[in-house]
Amino acid sequence: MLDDERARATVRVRGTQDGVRLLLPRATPLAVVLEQVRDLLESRSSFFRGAALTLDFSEREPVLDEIAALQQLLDRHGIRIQAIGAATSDVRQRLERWGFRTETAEPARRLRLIEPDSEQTHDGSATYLRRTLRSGMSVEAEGHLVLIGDVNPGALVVAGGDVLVWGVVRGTVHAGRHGDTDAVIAALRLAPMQLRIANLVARAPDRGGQLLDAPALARVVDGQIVIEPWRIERR
Amino acid sequence: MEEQQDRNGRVITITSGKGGVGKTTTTANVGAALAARGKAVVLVDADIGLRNLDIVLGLENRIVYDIVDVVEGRCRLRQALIRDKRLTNLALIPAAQTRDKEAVSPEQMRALCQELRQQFDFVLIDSPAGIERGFRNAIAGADEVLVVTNPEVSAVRDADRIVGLVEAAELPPPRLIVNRIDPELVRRGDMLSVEDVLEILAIPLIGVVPADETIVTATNRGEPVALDPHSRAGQAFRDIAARLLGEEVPFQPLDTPDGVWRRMLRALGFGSRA
Repeated sequence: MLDDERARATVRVRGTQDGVRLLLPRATPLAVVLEQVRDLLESRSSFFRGAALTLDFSEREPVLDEIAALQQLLDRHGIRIQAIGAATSDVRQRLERWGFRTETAEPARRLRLIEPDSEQTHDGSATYLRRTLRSGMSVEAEGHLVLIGDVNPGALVVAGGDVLVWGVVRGTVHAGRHGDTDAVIAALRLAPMQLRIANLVARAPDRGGQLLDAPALARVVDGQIVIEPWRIERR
Repeated sequence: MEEQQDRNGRVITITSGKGGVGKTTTTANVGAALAARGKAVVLVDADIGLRNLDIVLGLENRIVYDIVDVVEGRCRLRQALIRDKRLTNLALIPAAQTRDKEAVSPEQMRALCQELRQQFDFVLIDSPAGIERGFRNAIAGADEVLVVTNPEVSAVRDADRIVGLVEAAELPPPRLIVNRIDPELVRRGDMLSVEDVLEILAIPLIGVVPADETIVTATNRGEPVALDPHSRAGQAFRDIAARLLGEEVPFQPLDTPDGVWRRMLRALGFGSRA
């Protein structure tokens, strides 16, 4: 997919449990990468200040000159490189010979659910439903779906376009079933078991799955499903 | 249990989806409590192949004919009715133990319920677990449904499925019994509260039965706790019976007087206003 390729050509930031990770794109020239990193650091300077981060080379071939250039740039912003991530052990050995601390980095895994089918698109119409979907029930809509009621655990909602739930989502919702990554899922309260947008899957954390006790919107950002609380003042 | 013609009784099915949440105990105790209030009550064990209700009532040794014998015409309805040893206006139609759910059809159940409601004020049907034939049989002739659940995620999930199926069968929304709640565990946050359960199921509450070890011993002895004036669970079952009779009974406080519990019940329109 085009969007996907574009996402892979830019430097991405990932927050992980071990800290912040800069994911370096595969084929983008170093000058562009440096420029993107600089933009990132300047636009979110308070976020990065004094941080230590991991440079993730799982998708890009590490070259000593490049790392040195990045190190210099980060240094100017008061940021330390804590480790360099690489996918294979011989790359890690090479990095260690250069004197870097390394860690294993998996190339971004993408769960493929369905093959995107560009011919099957919806006409933008919406299905309107007023009922609570209980465990074992499922509804499908070709276009968008508007549901007034809850989606209980064990219930399934599938739509070609967006899914708007005026109620609590505790079950599973799949928006953009034919591969539309622009599809969104919005609900008064998003506490889902699983959300799917296009061919992406996000599931509730196994532990401490905190309910978002506020209206929220799920959409695809950088090839990942992101859930954000809905703030009226933001609009 | 005199043969008074056409009492036009109510057929109430007690079901749950998940097994082991206390359907049979609930059926026996609500039935006993209604009978103790002077109503003519018959309990029907629809769990064919896994007969239990007779044991809970201590009537196992009296069984000669069962529900399959009735629907297949091997005996008269009257012959399969077992009269309770304590309450003369309580009767039981036992399940067959050597057959399975397919032995009875929903049409036959409907016909049986029609016949029973003429002779009894209440026909309580103890449904088997599951959502298949046995469950469909159990709700076939029902006017109302009571869903029993435990404050556990899996039991609530299955109860939710059942509520959906009951609604799809165009019966009125079922009423909920939360069985085996432990106030101490709820207080510590280790058990779902009644409020949590209601938030998902969103159906009217008709009873909250506290976890009570006397139930286990009473059940093994074949003595319904509803007849024990000192049992807290027994009181909860008597309250359910009273609510079925249309009385407004406040829910027993499970916690300290002004706990979340009280406030929640008040918010739901139950309990004392004071």
